[in-house]
Order: sequence, then C-alpha cells, then structure tokens
Amino acid sequence: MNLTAGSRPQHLEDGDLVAYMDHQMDRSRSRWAAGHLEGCAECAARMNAMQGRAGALSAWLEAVDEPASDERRALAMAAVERARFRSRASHGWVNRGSLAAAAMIAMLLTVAFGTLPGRAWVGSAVERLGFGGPGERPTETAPSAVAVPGQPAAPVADNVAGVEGETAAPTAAGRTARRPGLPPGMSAPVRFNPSGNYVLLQVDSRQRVGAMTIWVQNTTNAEGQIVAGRTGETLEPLADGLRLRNTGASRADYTVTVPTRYRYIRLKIGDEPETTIAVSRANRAWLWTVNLAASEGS
Amino acid sequence: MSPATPSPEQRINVTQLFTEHYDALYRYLVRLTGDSDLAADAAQEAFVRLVERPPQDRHLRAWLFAVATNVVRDTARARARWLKLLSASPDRAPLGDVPALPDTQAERGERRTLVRAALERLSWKERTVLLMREEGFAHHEIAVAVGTTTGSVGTMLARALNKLSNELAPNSESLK
Repeated sequence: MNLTAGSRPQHLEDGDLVAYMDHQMDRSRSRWAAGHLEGCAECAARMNAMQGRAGALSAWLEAVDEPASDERRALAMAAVERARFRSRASHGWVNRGSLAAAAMIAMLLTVAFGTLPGRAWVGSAVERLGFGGPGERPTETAPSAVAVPGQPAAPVADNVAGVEGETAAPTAAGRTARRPGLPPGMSAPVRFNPSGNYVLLQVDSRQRVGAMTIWVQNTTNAEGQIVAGRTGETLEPLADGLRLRNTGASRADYTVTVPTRYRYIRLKIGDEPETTIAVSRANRAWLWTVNLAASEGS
Repeated sequence: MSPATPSPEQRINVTQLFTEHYDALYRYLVRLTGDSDLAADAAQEAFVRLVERPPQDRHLRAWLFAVATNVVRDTARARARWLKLLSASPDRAPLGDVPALPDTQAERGERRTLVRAALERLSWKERTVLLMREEGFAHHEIAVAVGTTTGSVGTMLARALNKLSNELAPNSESLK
C-alpha cells in the first residue's frame, strides 16, 4: 500500500486490491481500503477490472480440468491403506523392541540380585514378547474368543488399552490373555479360522464414517482388527468368519486379513444384499476397501 | 486424571479426509502440472505421508496441498517430466491420424491447449499461488506452501492474475 507517515494516501497497489478482494486484510487496513475505494474512481475501476479478470480466469481454468477416475481414486486409497498397515506393523515392532530392551535390563537385574519379583517380571515380559512358540506374533488369541465350528462364538475380550505394565495371568495355552496397552481407538487383533472355502464378513450396520480394508495375502491366519476410532465396536469370530458389531454412529476403521487359501469372501452389511468377492490365488497380495459410511455405499 | 491427548495419527481420520479432499487435490495438481499421472502420484503421496508422518498442524487440507506441491516440485521424476513438458510444444499433436472432432469437442481441446500454454508461461510460484487461491486457500496458507510472507502473496497473486489475463486476452472478450 502506498502510504507513508504524514503523507496523503496514494493509490492502492495491485497486491492490496487482491488482498481486499479476497478479504485477507486485517480490519483496520480493510476499513482504510474501503474508504479509499469510495473516494478514488481510478482505484475503484482497477478493483472492478481485477474482480472481472479473476472471475473470467476461474472459468478459463476449468478447461484444463480432468476429473479423477474411480480407478485412480481406488489405487490411491489402496496405497493409503498399505501405508496404514505398514504404520501399524512398525508401531508393533517398536513396542516389541522396547519390551525386549526392558526385558533384557530386568533379566540382568534378576541375575544380579536374584529377586523373585524380578524373575516374575522377566517371565511376563518374555511371554508378552510372544516367545511362546517359533514365529508367533504378539496377537490376542484368548481361547474363549475363538469360535469352534458348529458352536456359538464367545464374545471377544474388550479393548485392552491401558493395561501397560500389568502382569496378566497366563492362560491354559501358556499365553497371556491380555497384552500391553494399545493406543486408544484400536483393538487387539482377533483371529478366526473358518473351515470352509469361504470367509463370511458380517457387519451389523452401516455407520457414520469409516471403512473396512480387506487384505488378501499369502498368510496362514485370518485376522481382524479395529485400527482407529473405536468407541465400543467389537469383532467376534464366527464359525465361518467374523462379525463386526457396530452401530450407525460408529466412526471406526477396520482391517481384515484373509489368507489366499479361501476361494471367496462373502460380505454382508446390515440388511443389504450380500456381496461376494472372489479371491484370486494368482494375485498374492491385494486390498479391497469397503466404505462403510451410510451415505456412500460400498 | 485428565484423559490422554490423542496422537496426531489417532486424531486424523484419513478415510474421511481422502473422501473430502482427494478430488480437489487432484484437480489442483492437474492444473499445476498438466500431467494427470504426475498429479495422481503426488496426490497419493501426500495422503501416504499423512498416514506415515501425521502433522501436528490442524489445517490438514492446506498441509495436504503444500505437501503435494512439494512432491511435484522436488522429486526427480517430476523434474524429468517438467523438462519434457516445457520442451514440448504446447500444442503437441497426437501420433497418427487426428480423429475428426465435433465442433464443440475441438473447441474444448483448443481452449485447453490455450490455458495450458498460458499456465506454463507463469513461474512455478505464480502458478502455485494462483491455483491455490482458486481452491479457496487463505493468503497465509498460500504463503506457507510457497515459502513466502503473507503480505507478499497479494502482490504475487496480482502479478499472476495479470500475466495469465494478458496471455489469454487475445482469445477472450472478458479479459481484454
């Protein structure tokens, strides 16, 4: 703005015209500019011209627009979901690494002092690390949560967030029923093991926002997890799949891993007709994102 | 005990942000680069970075646009494509016989070529500020994206608007 102390205000510069036009001036400058425009025909004309130019250019710019195709959108969303998986996995390893370091320190202390609490803590930490068997992941698999084909499934244990440091009693299978705290909004993974050639994914209802990502990969176990936004939703293993207990107000995101040994996935959301997804054995790792938002469909 | 503050990763609903902003981000990037493949790559990369390194910044839309702009500008792949685009004639003809186009389609194609060529003649910063303004960003958000002060954005915008108008004026009554 051409305004110097003690001088009469000069004309508005082009930058000031744009800032005024875009409502980006602070109140005092805007008031001053409005006053100047009222009294200065030249600046008012320039302002009109600038507004006209900006409006015309907006229309011209539409000429180069290309709407994003569904394919591009789906590819991008799949990349985002892969990043989420990677992010989840890396956080898991961080926790596991921290626990390993802590267990090592405690083991050294125990060796040094031979205290009973020290030994108990080390035992617990080693269990939480999932060293109960070769190649095991620190996955929640409380026996009561696993459905036996032909029998009603027991409900899954509730979110285990906030139990960091708690020493849980080992189950009959020699593993802990609870694991160190998960971030709020995330549930422990739930394994399920349908014996047929399909996996049924049954969602109680569409919800406010959120998505379920189905990851088909060459792995041994079928597994589901609430990865974000959990406010009471639960995953319940069924004899032939997994039930997602949610409500219309839910905002959570879910991931389900399905091994390639299954031939197809049956997806049922509320009362809607069932959708069947064929599993390709040739394609060993692919993602299928199901939008659960009520307004947008799958 | 006060409730734990959620981490940025927990606070951000990526699916919702994707649904709300992907199309606008893609449109902006197509306008910026003139290359739909590059635009798709950069838009995707911005959302992936949102997952991998969620920002503390609450203005997530502006953050996404700024990151995507930087992706386009900084990656070697982008530079290669830019060189290709700049060296190419703005009215690159397709190989083989040109299919006969209906008048309206031909007109649209001509208009697209004109605008693309005019945009290419703006500097990177001029194009960025102009196109971010078109997407409704405030001057302080544009300033962050192009690494300048809020006060200078108005001047840059005015220069870009005038330059683009002059480029297109011979073909537009409203811009003369």
